[in-house]
Amino acid sequence: MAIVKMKRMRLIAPKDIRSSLIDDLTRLGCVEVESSLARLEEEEFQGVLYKEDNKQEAAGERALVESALVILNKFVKSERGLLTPRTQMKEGEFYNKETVASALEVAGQINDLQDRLNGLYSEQTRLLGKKASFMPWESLDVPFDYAAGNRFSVVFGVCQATADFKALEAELAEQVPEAAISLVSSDKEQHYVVLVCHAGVEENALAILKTRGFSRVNFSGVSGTARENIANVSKNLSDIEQEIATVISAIKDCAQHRGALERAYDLVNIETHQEEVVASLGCTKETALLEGWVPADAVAEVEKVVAAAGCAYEFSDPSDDEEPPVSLKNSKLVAPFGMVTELYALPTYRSGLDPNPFMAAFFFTFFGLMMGDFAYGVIISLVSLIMLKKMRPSGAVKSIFQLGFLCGISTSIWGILFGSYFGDLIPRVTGMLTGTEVVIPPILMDPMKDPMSLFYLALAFGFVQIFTGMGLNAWQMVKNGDFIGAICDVGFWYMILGGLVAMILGVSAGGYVALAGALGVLVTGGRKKPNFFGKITGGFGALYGIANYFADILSYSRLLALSLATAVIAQVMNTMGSLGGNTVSGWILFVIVFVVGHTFNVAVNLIGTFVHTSRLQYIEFFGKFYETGGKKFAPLYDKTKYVELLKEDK
Amino acid sequence: MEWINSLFNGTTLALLGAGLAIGMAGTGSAKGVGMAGEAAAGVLTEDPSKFGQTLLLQALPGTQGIYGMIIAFLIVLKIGLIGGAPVELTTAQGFAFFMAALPIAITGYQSGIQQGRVAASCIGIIAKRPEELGKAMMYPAMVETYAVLGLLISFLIWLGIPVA
Repeated sequence: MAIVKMKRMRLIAPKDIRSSLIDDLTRLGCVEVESSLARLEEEEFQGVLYKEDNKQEAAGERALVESALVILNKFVKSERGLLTPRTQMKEGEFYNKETVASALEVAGQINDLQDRLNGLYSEQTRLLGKKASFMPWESLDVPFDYAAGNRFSVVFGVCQATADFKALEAELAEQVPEAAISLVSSDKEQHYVVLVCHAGVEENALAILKTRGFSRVNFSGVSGTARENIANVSKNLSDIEQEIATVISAIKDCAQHRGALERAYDLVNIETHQEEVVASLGCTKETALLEGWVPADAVAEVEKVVAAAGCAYEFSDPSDDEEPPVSLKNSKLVAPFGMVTELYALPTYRSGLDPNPFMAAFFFTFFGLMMGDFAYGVIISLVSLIMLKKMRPSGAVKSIFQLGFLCGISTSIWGILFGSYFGDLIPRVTGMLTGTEVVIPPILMDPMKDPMSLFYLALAFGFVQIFTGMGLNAWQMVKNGDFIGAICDVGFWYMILGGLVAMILGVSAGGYVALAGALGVLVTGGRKKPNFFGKITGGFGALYGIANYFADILSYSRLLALSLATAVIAQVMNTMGSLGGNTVSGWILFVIVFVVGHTFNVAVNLIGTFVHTSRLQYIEFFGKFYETGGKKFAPLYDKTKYVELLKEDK
Repeated sequence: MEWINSLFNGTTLALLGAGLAIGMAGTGSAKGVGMAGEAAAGVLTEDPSKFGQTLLLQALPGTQGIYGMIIAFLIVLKIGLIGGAPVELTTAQGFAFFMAALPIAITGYQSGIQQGRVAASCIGIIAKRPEELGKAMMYPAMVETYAVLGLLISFLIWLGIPVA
């Protein structure tokens, strides 16, 4: 129930064991190592520093395994779905180097196969291009090297499809009678033309043709007719296609190693982070300097490891100019709500105030009130529970479902208090079946029939939460020795707000208390202002802040509004569903509308409820007292994506 | 002058209110969700894995339309057009229903658009810092407050209108 106390760790290790030390600390999972690189720029370190070439093999291995997994997923779909839990594995088995080595080998193979595949694909593209270049000449029986060594020339070429071939033929026959052209084929863009002539007039003939846009196509080095060439290329192509199929099936065969690859990925990923940490350590010729943070209650455990490794070390309290990282420790019931606080910001280490236990109680209450339906609560809790059991998630995802489970319970409780079970489903269905509506009476109130009571209840909740926030603020001021501040900035306001509420409730003495409080605020509100004038106006300014308090309390009216939103949409769905009446088709309509409609209602209101419940915590509650700016405690730990590690006691 | 009578007939006025409530609040939401959707599509071209997060932000300006529908439904329900016998409304009652619809119609329209703009900007946060989804959701939520207040007042007026 507090911010975890941190100890500063300073440690000098023999340099050659620094990697294995970092490995041990990673498995402990409770040491945050700070990079020494910035400090090593300082003057005093320059004499003893020893630049170290740190090997960074793991990063390359990680890239290799990662790309192998991507390739594999492209050809064989992973069976891993949303609900698939991570594979459980004992720590010793996970860290086994040999299995990783064989997985790396497979990863190398897969990458090689992909390289080969890429080569084959580009060869295939090249051949397809070549085949396409022969296609227009398919009908021509003249081999491409027909003219070689002869006294006549055969020139292949193309001209624009817009050119008039007949005119060209006529012009050539007139000017160079020793030459003849013929049209082999045409497509949308070009005429494919062959020129046959005596070798001596080739240039003359070409000169005429070029004026008509003729350009030569080079087939030098190609022998045989177009048809023979096409047959050759086609054969090569089918060979390549076959080879591509073989390579792909070879990659698919590697799918059996997917598990090993995934495990290897997790391991080399951890190693990559370790290498980064090792690289950030300052080294002399024989030693490495390691500085970081350890939670006070984990010191003994860490001490055992570093002492066994033969390091010189000290653990000390943080000095005044240091800002230790923040970690919040709470009971199992409160811990999931920590996620909501983390979405906002962490408290500073020195404030010493963990808002979670207070915030959790309000969040739990408000969330349930806004959803406010027994059946919806059961659904939310059940789905969360199934996800937790099936998926066995870790980290933030786990917190979300734990939060969902708890908030579902709250939703069910409020549902019973409001008498809401899928909205007004029970009276609606009994009405359709028997003609008389069976109503389960609400224990507290029905927000639809008696919204004003819920409105007052919502404001009362707001009053309580704001008073709690102000109380925490006062507590912090007292802890810092600012008794006057606690009385002036919180005590007097308690009198004003409390007195006013008492007055509204009919206790006339409340008015005098409020007046006394207001006087107090008026006199002391400007006490921090430097001059007399400021002190006077400051008091009025402070008193004007009452508008803010009223606005804050009225903001809790959203509890009623969102509670109504859930209830009315549920009622809309039930009403629409029952439009068909008590007939077979009517009931089919009812079931469809029921399933779709209530799913929609839960989904939409989950977002709205979460957002608005959070907002009340962030703006109305945290705004009163919360000191933010802490840096999250980020220890080295064995973070895994595919494997769930089972810790073994050594 | 029968058309004037039917125009200022209580039921017509109440239905005009219901139409405005869902129509205006829905238009605001449609504009807002549209703007946010355009921004989300831009982010997705770079990184398709952010679909879930951007969809969540895109959905936020959609609530105004739902609030409008709530009031529209309640009005139609109370005048007996669905789930009961139609109630004869006086012109004054019809005007009262019309007025009940205005708070959510007006706040829903404008806050839907503004919330959409904020949501679109916050989708930019997701593009660069997806871990800050919680904060990115809070800015649009601040705008929605006023639609919630509009809904509340519409509801309280609706509740207070006596129907024979």
